[in-house]
Amino acid sequence: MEIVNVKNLSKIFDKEIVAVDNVSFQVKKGEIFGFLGPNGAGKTTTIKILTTLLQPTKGQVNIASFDVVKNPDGVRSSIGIVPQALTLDDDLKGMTNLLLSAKLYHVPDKIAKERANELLELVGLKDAAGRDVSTYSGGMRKRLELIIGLIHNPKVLFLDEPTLGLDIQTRSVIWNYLKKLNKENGLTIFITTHYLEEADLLCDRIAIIDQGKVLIEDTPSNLKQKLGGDIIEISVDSHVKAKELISELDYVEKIDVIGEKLRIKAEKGDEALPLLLELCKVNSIKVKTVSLSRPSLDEVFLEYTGKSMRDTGTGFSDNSAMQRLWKSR
Amino acid sequence: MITETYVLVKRELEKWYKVPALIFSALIQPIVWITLFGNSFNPTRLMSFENLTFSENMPPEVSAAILEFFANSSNLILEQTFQGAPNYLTYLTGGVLSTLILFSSAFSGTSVIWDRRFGFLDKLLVAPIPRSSIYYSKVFSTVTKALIQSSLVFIIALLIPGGLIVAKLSVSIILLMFISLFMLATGFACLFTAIALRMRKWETLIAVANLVNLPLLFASGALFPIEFMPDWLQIVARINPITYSADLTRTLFITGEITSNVIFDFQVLFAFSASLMIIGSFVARYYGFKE
Repeated sequence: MEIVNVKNLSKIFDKEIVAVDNVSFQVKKGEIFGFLGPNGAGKTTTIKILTTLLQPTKGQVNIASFDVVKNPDGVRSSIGIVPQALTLDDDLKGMTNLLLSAKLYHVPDKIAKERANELLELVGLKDAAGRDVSTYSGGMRKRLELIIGLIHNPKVLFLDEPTLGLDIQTRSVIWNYLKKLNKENGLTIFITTHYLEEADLLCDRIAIIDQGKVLIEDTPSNLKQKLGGDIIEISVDSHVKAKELISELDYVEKIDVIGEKLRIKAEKGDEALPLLLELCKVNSIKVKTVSLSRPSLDEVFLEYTGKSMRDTGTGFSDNSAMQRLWKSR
Repeated sequence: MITETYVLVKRELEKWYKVPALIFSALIQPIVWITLFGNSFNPTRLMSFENLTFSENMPPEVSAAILEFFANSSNLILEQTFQGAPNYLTYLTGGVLSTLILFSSAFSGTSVIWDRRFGFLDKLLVAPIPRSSIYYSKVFSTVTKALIQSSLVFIIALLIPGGLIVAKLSVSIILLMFISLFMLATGFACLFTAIALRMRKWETLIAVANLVNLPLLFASGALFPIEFMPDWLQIVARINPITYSADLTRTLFITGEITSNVIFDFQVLFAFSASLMIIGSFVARYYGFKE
């Protein structure tokens, strides 16, 4: 069953800047859906429309069977949001922030307190709950922000770059919470992220958006599959003979000789590798080193957007922009 | 709507009373007006001459009469110019209370701008609450702060030696005074919060507040009777709600009665606050929080 249904959504600013261009996708109940794209791709605009902060120019958006234009308050009560920028009130205690949010979502006081304690326990903020948020570290703020998004027991949780700027430990802690919430409570999660490993690890399905258009939508493993197979690299003592033998294996799609090594593109690398080694052994070819690598989402991303995720982090679309900047200084 | 507004007002006030310095620093200015300005610029002492010399031809009865006139001048000024107030500070206090309301309301929008800057506003905008509750929470937290401050200033003015002297201190008079100060505060807070809704920089708001504060103070009957002013300024003063609030408060202090003047002032203040509340709610709904 679809809990988020986006149909032909467009958003045009100032009658000419097309931020989102005829986008359609669905998020099923209980799945973690990743929304990936370089900076300026239209991710934030889309999430703003989905969370009722912006009005769509064209198209339809339904969340938990409420229309974002016709019934924004219905949508607002059904969703929780963990925004990219922090939205905590620094001058108030952690607990006060949490209960204030509960009040705004009309959670009865008694239930709010119980839930607040549960959630604070979950993210390990119980001891810090009585302190002003201004004394919190970056990771603590993000965890508080996360449980604020959950205090009213939403049907869908929207996370906009939830782990941006956090260290790797905190990041993995947050991933664990999200996985746990998804598994145990069946919470639907919509996540935008820059970290491809994050999307790979967390998401059931991902969509890649660029220049306002959804380029592709699938499971991470299917996306990687579509790129072609895994890469096996072996170095052997006689690679002419090895190449001949190996190319007859079913899984193998392509073999290149790179220096001392054979670079083999295989459909299912994990299954091809044992066969390959066996073949070498039988034909008494000595294998010196072997490595298996699978294509990462990074490559998928590069394939579809033509840009590497890491490059987009700088905010420069190409090198010449950077060079111009240097010259002008 | 009311519950949400209440919750948000509570938040603002919690932030406020955690910093007592904020409350007391806001009291300094009105106290300065009363003690420093009220004492040193006291207009009733303008004619208290002591060393008058008369020509020898002047008949002694005449010079005695003149000396007596000047000795009595202070009372005469109070009676003729300052509505028969017991002293100038009593006349001034009504104006200072109204000015205090203006000054604190003028900055009511700063918290909207901070909330926008720190992203808290986005959290409110995605919550299932009416947009106008965000607006009214800013308005009414400002009104509450202004009224608490003005009651403190009122008490201080009563305690200062030679300060405020009230003809009659009854519950109905105090209530009427605070209702009118409430209306003045609501009107101004609605106005200034609406102006701040779309602002991105708080410096702009400070500039607007500083731009209007002193002109509104001097073009009103807060410090002096408006009859002192040139005709064109009198017109400005007559459309300035501070004039009516100051007049209402001081008439209550001086006479201790609800005169027809008081009733007229009250009606003007009611119209002022009601119309700005309506305009403000439209601004909040259709303009203030749009993308």
